[in-house]
Amino acid sequence: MAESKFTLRNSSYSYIHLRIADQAANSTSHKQKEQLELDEITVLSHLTSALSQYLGLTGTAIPVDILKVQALEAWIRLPIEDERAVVAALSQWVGKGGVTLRVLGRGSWLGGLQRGIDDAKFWSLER
Amino acid sequence: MPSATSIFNLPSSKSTSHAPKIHISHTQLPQTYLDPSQPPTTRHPFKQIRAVSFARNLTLCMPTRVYNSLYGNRDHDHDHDHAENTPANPEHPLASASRGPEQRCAYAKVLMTLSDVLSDHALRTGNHALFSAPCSPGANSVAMRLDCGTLTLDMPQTTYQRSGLTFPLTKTESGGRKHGKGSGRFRVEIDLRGPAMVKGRKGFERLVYASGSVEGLREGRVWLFCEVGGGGRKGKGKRKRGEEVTMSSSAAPRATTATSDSSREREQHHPLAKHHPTLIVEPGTTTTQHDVLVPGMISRPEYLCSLSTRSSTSTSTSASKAEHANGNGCPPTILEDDVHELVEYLGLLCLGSPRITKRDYGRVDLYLCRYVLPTVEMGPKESGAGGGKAADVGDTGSEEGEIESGTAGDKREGDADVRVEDVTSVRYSGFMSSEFVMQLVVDLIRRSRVRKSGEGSALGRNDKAAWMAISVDAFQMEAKGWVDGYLILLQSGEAGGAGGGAAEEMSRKEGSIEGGRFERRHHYGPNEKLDGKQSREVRGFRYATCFEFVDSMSR
Repeated sequence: MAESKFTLRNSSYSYIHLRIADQAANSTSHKQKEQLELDEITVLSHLTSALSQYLGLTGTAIPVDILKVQALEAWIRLPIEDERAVVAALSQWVGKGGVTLRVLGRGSWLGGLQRGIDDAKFWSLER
Repeated sequence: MPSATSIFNLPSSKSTSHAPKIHISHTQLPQTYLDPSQPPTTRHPFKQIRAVSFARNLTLCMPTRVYNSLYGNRDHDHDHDHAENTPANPEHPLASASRGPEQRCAYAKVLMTLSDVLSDHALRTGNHALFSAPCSPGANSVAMRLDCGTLTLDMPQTTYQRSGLTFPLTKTESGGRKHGKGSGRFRVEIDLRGPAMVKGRKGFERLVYASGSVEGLREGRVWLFCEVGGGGRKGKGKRKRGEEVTMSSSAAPRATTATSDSSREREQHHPLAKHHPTLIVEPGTTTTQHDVLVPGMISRPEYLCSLSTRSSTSTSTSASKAEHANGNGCPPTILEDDVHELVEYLGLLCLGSPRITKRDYGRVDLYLCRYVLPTVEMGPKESGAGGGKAADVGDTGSEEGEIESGTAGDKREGDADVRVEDVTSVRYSGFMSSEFVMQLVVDLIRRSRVRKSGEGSALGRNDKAAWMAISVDAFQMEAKGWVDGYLILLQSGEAGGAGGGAAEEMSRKEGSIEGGRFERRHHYGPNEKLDGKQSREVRGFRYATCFEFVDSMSR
């Protein structure tokens, strides 16, 4: 039976799974969640804000592709060399009204990136 | 592909020691009868499924036409084939009794200590899996796993020394290292079904003492529980008394009135019952995405077969390319960049990204997304990896035209080979054993081969290029060398059959030419020709490509 194997390395992109959070308000009521909900433009403006604060004009030149936006979560793609810069920029950024973007997971491929969804809830006893 | 050059001179975040990689294996599925109670162990897609013991998420993606033909008439399928494998107790909410679309991801969360597990004979030796990972992974955290009687404790050095366990340490990828990632972690594997593991014996008592007194082992923690061996052969002989008991729960709709009394009576005997578990039974959530652009690489196995020639001829891509170009038949050539793009596409597909739908593709502003569909050029005018892209995204008009021509089946050489299809995805999330995944995959392959009257197989005669992607996310259990997930692409290839329209005939012709070449190149044997009479004998999914993501996640 023919079987062939091959190993792939050195992805040129990095993928990041983000979630928006409101730092100021601890309670996550339904209404607040609705207010926080993302779309493509919002994600990009948040990212641009974070990157320009941290790295200035050069930061805004990082090519970020938005792959999917769903409610409070977003998946983005960027050149792998810029991964560190973007993660660092996001970690220190607090936007207007105290919103932050949390990195839930990042990796060289999209495989395995959805795992981070609701991890805290998953390891609690609630349904 | 937009060039991914950095404007920063930061060192790469990946050290070479555990660089992320994907192991890809392309195989032909066994054409013989697939026994669900004894799935193959050494062949690749099955081997991979076995290797990842627990799955966190599972996503099936397939064209809606394939979904309908596989899952459409459920009653028809539930005949002789499945009757033989009904497990001992189908009403058990934790037993993943039914398979296929009815297969539910059933697991329980329970708060208990390690000594609770050890003190209960049924719990420590039964055919089930228990897994507990620390909520906050830190240096002093302990991960515990009990898989069909084998207890694995992964702990820091101090805890190991305090516990006084005399069991031999298991070699791990990171075990016993003094510096670096995963240093100072010790792992012990104990077979709780062994003859020495009975009350009163020294080794067992030592373990019980450690579980009750040593800091790090004695705390209560959340365990995930799922049954293993629900429908398999393994479960039949070794099934313990406690497991046959039904737990009453709202999620057990099929509990009959006749057995409910006795089952309620026996319910207290279930090893988990006294710890008040949270039972979770989730059927898969099905969603459909309309008008997804599917590149030819996905639906036709010829491309990935050429990957195998490429890898076998080591790194001499240019040489093999020249050789390919010389043959007048112009076989598809696949390069490493194309595989990267294929993996990316499959990732987007399983993610459910709108960027690959016809509605979105090419219309989204470049500022938001620059994603380009992968295509492999068919033809002698091969011009590197970047030359064969579907279209320039900026030029919306011309790109649309190409896609339209692709759907009409008018495939000229060097053109984009893209279909537009509705894609249905089924998604499971929770705690799944490898057996759950295995049963699902075996069942899907078997379903695809079921003969129906008037049609060749469950995949109708028009489903020439049936495909399915199965994406699995794993739990992380090791610091290094860990498989973060895998993705299996099942393909049926071009099956014979009477073509309907001109487009079908066209693609059939093309397929048969490629098939012939493919057969010659790979020496799969005379019985496995893609064209000619033999192909009508082979049905359903025939090829599997497994992408195994190793260390792909940055931490």
